[in-house]
Amino acid sequence: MINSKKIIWGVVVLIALVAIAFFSMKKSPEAPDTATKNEDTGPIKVGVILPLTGDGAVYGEPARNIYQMAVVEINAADGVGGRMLELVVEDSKCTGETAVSAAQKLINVDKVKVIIGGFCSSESLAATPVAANAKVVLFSPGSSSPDLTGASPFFFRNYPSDASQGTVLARIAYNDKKYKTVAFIQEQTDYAAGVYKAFNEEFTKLGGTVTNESFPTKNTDFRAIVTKIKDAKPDAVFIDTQTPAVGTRIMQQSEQLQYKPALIVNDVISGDPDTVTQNAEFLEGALTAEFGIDPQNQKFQHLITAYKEKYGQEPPYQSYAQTEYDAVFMVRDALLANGEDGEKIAKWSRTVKDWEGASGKITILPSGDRDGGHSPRVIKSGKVAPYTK
Amino acid sequence: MEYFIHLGILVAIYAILALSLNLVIGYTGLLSVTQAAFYGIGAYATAILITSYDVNFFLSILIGMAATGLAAFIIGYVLSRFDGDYFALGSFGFNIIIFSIFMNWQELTRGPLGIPGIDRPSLFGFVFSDNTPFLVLAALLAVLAYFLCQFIVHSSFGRVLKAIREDEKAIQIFGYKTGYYKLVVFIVGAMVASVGGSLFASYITFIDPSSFHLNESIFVLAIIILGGLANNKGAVWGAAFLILLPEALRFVGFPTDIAAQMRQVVYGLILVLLMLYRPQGLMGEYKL
Repeated sequence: MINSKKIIWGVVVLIALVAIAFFSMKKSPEAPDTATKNEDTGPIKVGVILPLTGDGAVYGEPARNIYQMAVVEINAADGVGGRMLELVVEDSKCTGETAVSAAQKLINVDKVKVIIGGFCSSESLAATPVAANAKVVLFSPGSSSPDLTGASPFFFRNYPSDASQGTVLARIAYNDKKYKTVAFIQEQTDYAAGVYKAFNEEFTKLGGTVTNESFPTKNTDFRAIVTKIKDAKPDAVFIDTQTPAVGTRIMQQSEQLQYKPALIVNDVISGDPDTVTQNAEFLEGALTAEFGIDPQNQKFQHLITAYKEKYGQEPPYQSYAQTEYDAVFMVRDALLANGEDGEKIAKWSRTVKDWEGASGKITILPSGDRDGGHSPRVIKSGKVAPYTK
Repeated sequence: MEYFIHLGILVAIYAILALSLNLVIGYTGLLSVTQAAFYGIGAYATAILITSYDVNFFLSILIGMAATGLAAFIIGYVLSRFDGDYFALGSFGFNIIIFSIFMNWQELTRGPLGIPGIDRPSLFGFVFSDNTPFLVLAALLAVLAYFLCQFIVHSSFGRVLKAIREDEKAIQIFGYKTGYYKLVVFIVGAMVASVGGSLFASYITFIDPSSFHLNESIFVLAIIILGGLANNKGAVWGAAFLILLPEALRFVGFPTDIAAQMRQVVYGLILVLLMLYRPQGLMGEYKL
């Protein structure tokens, strides 16, 4: 029992250590009077929540690089009216629970007024009430769940909702292409499910029928699903995967089964130039929607070259890279216009109109969503072209 | 303070889970890794009842417990035919089945989209919207769970459980139908875990299946092994330790580029060292 008492002491010491760290961090920025002066010249802390470990880390790693790169650029150009920006990065593992822990830590220990994140929709959905309660702004450059539309006055995003792509595609599929039945092959992730949900709602409302064959992320054999769909003879097949690699696999296996239906694909597949060129023949005439990148955009070009210079390769997931890069600059503008005031910044966010960034012109709607977003496209001879009737 | 209150709530929720699993593994010796499924059923019951049917939180706890009890009865009935390692594998399978149901029964659970906007509990017009009263509520339920578990293990029923753990054949000779005891403790453990799930759903206000993955079962197993099997205090301390440790590591000044990964490494290392030098856990009375 003596030993177990020691262990209890160990836990107590651990709690005490967290407490000491907490209070020492809390005191330093607001150590009375003399520090008020300090506050006006010291760095402005901005919180960042993203998945750095776990399944979402493939997105979180490049995102962190981009944030850091943007901050260096901002600080080199006089920061926020002379004050430097400082990022406090917390890992949230792509889960709601950890995102709440991270948000609580950023808000209460680091006293940030703006948090960039979450990346995964689950992170943003769980952290939104925490941020709103503390009147801290949560600004996501990657969460696309339709559930986040109008989630809170303190939440906004510069990445469009999945609903926009599902709705756009459903209308064209029904009205222009005259499809009556569409078969989904959907990966079981929140993104792909969001696309399906929006498409299904709109398409069914218009009078069509949607069937869905969903599969878990680790699935590699789609022959059974494809055969089943082939027998059902739908007017079109919607390939709705989380990553382009899985989409390619589905297309290859359909080809092996000599099934080449009219296709609709989500923006993950059309957003990856390699996938589109490699599967050019199969994808010919496929309908898609894109929140694409604009290689002609100068800010975007700068982002790609600067990233390549610093990290030795082009940034992966470029449609996210551009919104992440823009997010940091938008936060700078928000701080310049409003100071460190969560409520003011939240109100300001709804007034953002035609903000020029690497991802094009950004306008934030009263619901906190980005206006516009996806536009219809069609794939022709290995290239994604604008859709015309 | 909010941050500590938040951590306190998490500790209370995981303490409930650990206590419930300790009944099954620690006292009865059934190596079950399906606790996250029951935790999930409780969470989904509360989430669905509150968002779609506007049921009161406290009623949803009871309905969640009933639903979990039913699921545990079916699962436990099948599992009662397994022994030792096979029991562990069987329970492993059931966690995966329940997880797939959360993922695929989309009309009910909305699948991977999860359920957002779950309201905080309210009682006689008082809403637990602030974290401080929520902590009191969570702690109260954890204390209740603690005394329930204490009561069970110190009752004659609990003595039979320990006897089953030590030597099932011997106690069978005395005429005890051990299958019945194992099934009952399995169901009780599941129902207690379900309360943790209800608390979790209404605290985070958003749930999706990823919170109830097999990993979560293993995390709870780690809590009770670290805290010490067959000791209810150990379960509570283990929960506190495993929740607070990764948070404490947020304050270690690793360079930003590798901070998140280093935290995981150090976290793992501490667990390995603890098991190496203290295999019976913080205050364990029984080793697997």
